Amino acid sequence: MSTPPASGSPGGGRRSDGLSVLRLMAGLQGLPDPLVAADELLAIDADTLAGWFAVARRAAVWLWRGADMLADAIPALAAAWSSPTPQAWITALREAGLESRTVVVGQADAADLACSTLTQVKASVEEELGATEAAVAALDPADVGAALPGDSPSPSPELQHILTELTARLDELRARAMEALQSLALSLRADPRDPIESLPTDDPGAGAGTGPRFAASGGLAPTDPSAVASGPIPSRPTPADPGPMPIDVGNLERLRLDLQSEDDTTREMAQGVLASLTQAKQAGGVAQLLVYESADSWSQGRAAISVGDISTADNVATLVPGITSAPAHMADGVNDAAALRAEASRQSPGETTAVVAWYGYDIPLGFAGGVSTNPLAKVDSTLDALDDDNAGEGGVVLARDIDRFRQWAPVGARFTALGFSMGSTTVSSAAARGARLDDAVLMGSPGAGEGVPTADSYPHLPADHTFVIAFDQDPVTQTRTDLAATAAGTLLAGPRISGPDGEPFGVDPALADFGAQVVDATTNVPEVRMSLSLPGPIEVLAGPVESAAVNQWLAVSHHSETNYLSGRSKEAAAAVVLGHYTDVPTKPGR
Amino acid sequence: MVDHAAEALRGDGTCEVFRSPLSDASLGPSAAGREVAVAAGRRVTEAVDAARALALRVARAAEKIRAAAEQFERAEAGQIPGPR
Repeated sequence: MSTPPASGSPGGGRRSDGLSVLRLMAGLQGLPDPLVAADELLAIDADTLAGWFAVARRAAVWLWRGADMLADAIPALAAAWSSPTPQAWITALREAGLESRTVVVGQADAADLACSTLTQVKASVEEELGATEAAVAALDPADVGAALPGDSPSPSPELQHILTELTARLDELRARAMEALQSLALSLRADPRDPIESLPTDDPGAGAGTGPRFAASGGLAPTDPSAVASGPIPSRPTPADPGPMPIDVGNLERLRLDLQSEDDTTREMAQGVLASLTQAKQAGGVAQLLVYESADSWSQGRAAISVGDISTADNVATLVPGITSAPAHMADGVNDAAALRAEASRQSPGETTAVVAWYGYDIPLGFAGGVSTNPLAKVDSTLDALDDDNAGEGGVVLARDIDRFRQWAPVGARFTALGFSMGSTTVSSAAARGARLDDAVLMGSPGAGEGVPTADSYPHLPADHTFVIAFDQDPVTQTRTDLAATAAGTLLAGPRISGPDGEPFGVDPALADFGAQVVDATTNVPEVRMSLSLPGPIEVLAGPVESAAVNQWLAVSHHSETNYLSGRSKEAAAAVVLGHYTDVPTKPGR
Repeated sequence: MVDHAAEALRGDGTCEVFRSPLSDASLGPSAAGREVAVAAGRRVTEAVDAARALALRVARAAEKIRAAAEQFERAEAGQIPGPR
């Protein structure tokens, strides 16, 4: 018998016939391959993790030394300065340094503990495999052969026992490894910068009107205390150095001009964007107009508003709406962005998240909630709702905008794009065109778009970083949406050449074959089915039709961005934005 | 002393250029493994950032204390006329 290759597996090179027999046996009995589990554990690179945290230990030493030196400075300041302000400020700095060090050391300790457990687990896996090989080798060759296809259908009890023992032991070791990783993941949710960033930004200064104790005898305090308090602060803006320009200064200037425009469409959109900016600022403290392009009678324009400061955010999420949305009316999108941001803050108070409501593509049926457009543009926009063309073009624009957002955000910020309905098709198209995303979330998706047969189609986004939320009650995520769109498209615009998959919106990303992570969440709209009671013969003829229509309408109520960004699905989406993958419940695809 | 503290917080230059050696799959394909790989990459970098951010604040505080002291000294010097 030849040994099956275990390509890419660390222990694969030395697999014996005995282990291969067990692998075959497990397969014949429909059990998971025990060697796959073993390989997964052996592939964990605990040494690199430990080495990386040595860097954190060095930072902890710097924090400790700095705090120690500040401790020496405090009594000197108290002795030399009559005002308590300088020593109070240095004390606050020292305490922030010590708090930060506590976080860093705690995380490094947790990493050491996890690495130690993982190393032990790997050694135990090697040991188990060795012991199992020896146990199989010690069996009668006839018993071993009996396990293989074409021989006796039932393996010897001894061999079965060895397989059962190995599987159980590997399960136990895997559980230990997962527990160690989960515990470390929890410890890593604290941000060591928080104690320092939460210090007041405006240094209290050293003056406060009372001079240093080392003043010359008979000296008087200066006549203008403010001159003392306003010492040279490198980062403080001065008339000569106004500091960095706000990232959205150009867009705000264009918006200001559009508010005075004589074109009704342009002005209406500008007024709508201004209202949404105000709403976003109320929700997030900081609101930034990251994209702004004027509307006119042919175009609904483009706008993107960040709820929260993108320039300091640990996580940046971009939320892309579906049809009937328009930049002139971003209230719903801003509300959903604020809700997602609040949920992310609730789950991880130590991290900052900015959520961008991105109304940046030519959204079909935008006139329904937008500004006045000419009738021909309305017809064009209506036809656009019947296929993924606008999503495909929007994907190119989204990928480009995300590149720009990345330039404004901190270097290590995580980027996630979330799309609802046709917005999800747009996000998928952006990912397929190489958008630099850490994660994507497709919600209520009619399809992943043309040329995206599987989640492996995204060049910079691994399949397991694509998450799909599709409520079973949402008719848009079902195949019938494609059928309806095809039928309507043919009626309104004649036969259309659809993509190679033959579906106007592409493959349903919730299918198991698509290969994304399907989130286990249910609709937040109560499920109600109606049965109409009509008199006599009318009941017989019209009742079923009426009931079907009402139930169809009720089904459509499950398809809303707010429904997808509520309850457990919102929690899951926020966990993805934070990169807390263990908090995302998943289930097998359709 | 405060200047020396800022210097200590800036570190010894051993972490001037670094990036996480952990890839997404370094800790296995499980959700926990991927989460730790991403979070570890970020938190270690942030630990260094924290020390440097504190160094900057301490340096600013030192600068302000020095400036205040100098202004007091100048003010006092103005009250005591020097020899003609």
